[in-house]
Amino acid sequence: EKDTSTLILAHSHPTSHPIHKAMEVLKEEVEEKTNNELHLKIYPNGNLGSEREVIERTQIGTVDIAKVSVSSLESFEPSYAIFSLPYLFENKEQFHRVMTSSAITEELYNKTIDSGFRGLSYYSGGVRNVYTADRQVQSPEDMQGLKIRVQASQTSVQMINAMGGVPTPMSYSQVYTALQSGVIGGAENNATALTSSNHGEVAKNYFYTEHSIVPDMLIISDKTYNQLSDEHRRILQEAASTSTNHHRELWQKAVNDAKETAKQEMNVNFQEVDKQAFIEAVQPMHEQFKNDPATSDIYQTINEVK
Amino acid sequence: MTTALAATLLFGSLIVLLLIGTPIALATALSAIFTMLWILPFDQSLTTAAQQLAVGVDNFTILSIPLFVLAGIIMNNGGIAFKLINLAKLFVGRLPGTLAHTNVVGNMLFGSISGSSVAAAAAMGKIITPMAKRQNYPVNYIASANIASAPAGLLIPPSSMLIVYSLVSGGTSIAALFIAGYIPGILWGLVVMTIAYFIAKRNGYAVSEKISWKDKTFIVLDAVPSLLLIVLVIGGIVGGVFTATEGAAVAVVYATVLSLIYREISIKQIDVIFKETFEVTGMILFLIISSSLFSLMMSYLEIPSGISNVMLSISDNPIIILLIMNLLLLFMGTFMDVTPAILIFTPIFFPVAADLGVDPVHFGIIIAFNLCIGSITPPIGSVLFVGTSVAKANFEKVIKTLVPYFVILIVMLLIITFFPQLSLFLPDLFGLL
Amino acid sequence: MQMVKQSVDKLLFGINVLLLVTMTVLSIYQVFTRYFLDVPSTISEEMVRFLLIWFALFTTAYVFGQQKHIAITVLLQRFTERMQRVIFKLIQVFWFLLSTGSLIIGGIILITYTNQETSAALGISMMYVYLALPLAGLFIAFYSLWYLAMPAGTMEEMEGNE
Ligand code: NA
Ligand code: NA
Repeated sequence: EKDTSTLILAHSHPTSHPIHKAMEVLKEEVEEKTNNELHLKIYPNGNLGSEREVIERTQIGTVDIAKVSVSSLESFEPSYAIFSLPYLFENKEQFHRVMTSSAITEELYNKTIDSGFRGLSYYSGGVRNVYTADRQVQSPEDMQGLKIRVQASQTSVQMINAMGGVPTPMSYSQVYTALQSGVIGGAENNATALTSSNHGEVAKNYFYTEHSIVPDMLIISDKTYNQLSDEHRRILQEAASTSTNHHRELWQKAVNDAKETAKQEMNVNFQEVDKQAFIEAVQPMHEQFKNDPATSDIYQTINEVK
Repeated sequence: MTTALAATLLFGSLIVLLLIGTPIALATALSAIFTMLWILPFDQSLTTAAQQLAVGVDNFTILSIPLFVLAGIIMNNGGIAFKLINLAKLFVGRLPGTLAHTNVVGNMLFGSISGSSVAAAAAMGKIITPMAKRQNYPVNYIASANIASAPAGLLIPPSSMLIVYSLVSGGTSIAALFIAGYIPGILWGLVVMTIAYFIAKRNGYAVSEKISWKDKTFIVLDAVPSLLLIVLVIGGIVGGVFTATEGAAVAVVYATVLSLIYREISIKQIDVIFKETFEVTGMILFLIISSSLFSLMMSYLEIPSGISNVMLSISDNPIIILLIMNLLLLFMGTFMDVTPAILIFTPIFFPVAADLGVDPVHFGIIIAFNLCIGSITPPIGSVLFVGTSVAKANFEKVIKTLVPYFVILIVMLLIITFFPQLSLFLPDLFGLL
Repeated sequence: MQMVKQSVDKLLFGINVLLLVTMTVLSIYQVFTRYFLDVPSTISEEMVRFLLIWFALFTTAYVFGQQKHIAITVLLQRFTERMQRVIFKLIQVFWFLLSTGSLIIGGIILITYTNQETSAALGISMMYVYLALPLAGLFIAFYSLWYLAMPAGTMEEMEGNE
């Protein structure tokens, strides 16, 4: 029989990543505050499977807690698609204000209970930008015919279409060779992709399109949650918030370090773009999200809070 | 304590099941499921096992396997492979064990573009074995050369295995890793050829006859359309026109069209082609799936980190630690497939190696080389099984023939471990370090 | 009775042909749309990935139907013939347990969890991906019962699975 006093926590980052450090903070807090009645076992590096697999495992109950991206969650709960909407947030301050508001936590975190898991907290995800092998991009016109790798999601496909490029869905591990060989002309991600996945070796132009700010989510299996005492639930919840705050600073530093390394050691050029032109280009998507029954409520709420 | 018992159950049941002759993939899956049933609730175990049995093949390094196997079998039936081998024999010349050398070169090329040593071993084995039988080579000799050389292509770029290493090691330069793979990859191939040469010489295996210039010209011209297939597929993949999987599909279509033009394939044969493809890929894919389930169970029980913690506490001498790491990887690599093993062991060993001052690029090559050896050793070695099976060879005999290869490859591994220049010379030359 | 197995073999063969041909066509289509139409297909890669899951499970069943999964028979050969027959039957029981326990029961529970879950590119329910589990499980269960019921004399011919 499964040992209920030890919770299994899975995430997909290496142990040097800010997320892992945040998970360690979570573990320490929980174990200390529950006088070691509740233990956490962290499985980093995607050792327990890809994010989609791990979410399914929280449904089944073999994984208790998982840190996953919202693009993975979108497949389980359509309202998470809202975060893939480009230019949903204008800046990081708006983003954090929305993510910590009770309106969002109450509305979004409990929405997946029927699917077998619930939200615990969020972590700052990166500001995503477009980067290319050699093409210069200042406005949507410059994206004409440019093949940009996107995550396998309909919203990402629509986004690059709206921004003027040609969306090319592809698994992340293939991006490096695809950029190198010219199968794609560019990709979009936060700046750490340049160094941690070495995309800076093959993509020398990084453009501050700042098209999305995407959170990561901490989720817990509903089976597990129901077995916890009220006291343990409260401790877990508080520890999750503490780890979120801790992560926020670490993450900012990681992004700054990545940019510095990319500039100094990989000769990547960082450039500003005509952001307003891109914002206007994606307006039809905002209309669509406003009217889609799956996202209209959350779209409304976010716009009220921000 | 529970973990130790569960680990015992996992390995113990695997060994018992294997010994009584349970199909290897079934034994692997069942031992993982038994262990799961023991530590998790009944329904959760069955559901998690089911999920892993489905997603175990959902990985881009596996995606191209069925299509490359199909292409290989069509080439074989359609006379294309025959023309290419004849051509290759011109280059390999009149060395003892000509076909084995051809096989090695084929594997280096095929493995490097397909990114899968299993696909290479399956396709090359299908092509070479019938010819070997006609020329009276012992089946286990050819099968062992095929098996021993299949992983070489994984080290030669583009290498999906090294991309995975780069990702989990926190961003070791892929360009540097790729360039670093050339010398060890090519050395691997040469070592296998050398051993195959000596075995053939000692046993007096066929040396191909002397070919007249007229015949040589004919062989070259005859092979041109088939050669175009190779140029198209390799060129397309390396040049970025298509991914490995797409390249495999292009190879399937091109080979089919050419075989129809040569009138070498009849409707009746299409049945045989599919049947052979299903038999080879079904066996490979079930091995991959069940090995992924076994790896999941090992991760869940934290066996890899547990074992290495104990082993690494034995000494603080860098040379001893590197030796221990190699021993551990060799041992664990015998139970796991290459990609899951890289995902699991890189994060555990990388920080230790970094502390010892081992260059991350060099360490990537050590891990990769080591796990490639694991893929051809019993009890679990996908390349070993596939190579044996496509040649319809005797498992025991093949293993015996493989012994000299194992010995020399392990010596090579030690040389690669303790002479970083072999891995770092080229990246250094190109200013990538 | 032999006809029943032959029909099942044929059905399984046909399904696998369909899957493999579709994977080939989709991969070619993917190159075509990217290079000649300059509009990369956004769904074909995911379709090929899902088809591979089906193909892996259905060829696993097919290879079992032919008794061609590779095994180590070094020790087995040293047993008495009677013992070998007992072990052969035992292995068919293992297959039966795998198919009914994990593939059929586990697969069906998994489908109940994932029927609301959609795939990233195609937007279809993940149920259709995991449906391959119980279906392939049915084929494997059939074959295991078939080989369990088979009279002992005909078994030697089936054991060419070195
Ligand atoms: Na390669
Ligand atoms: Na092995």
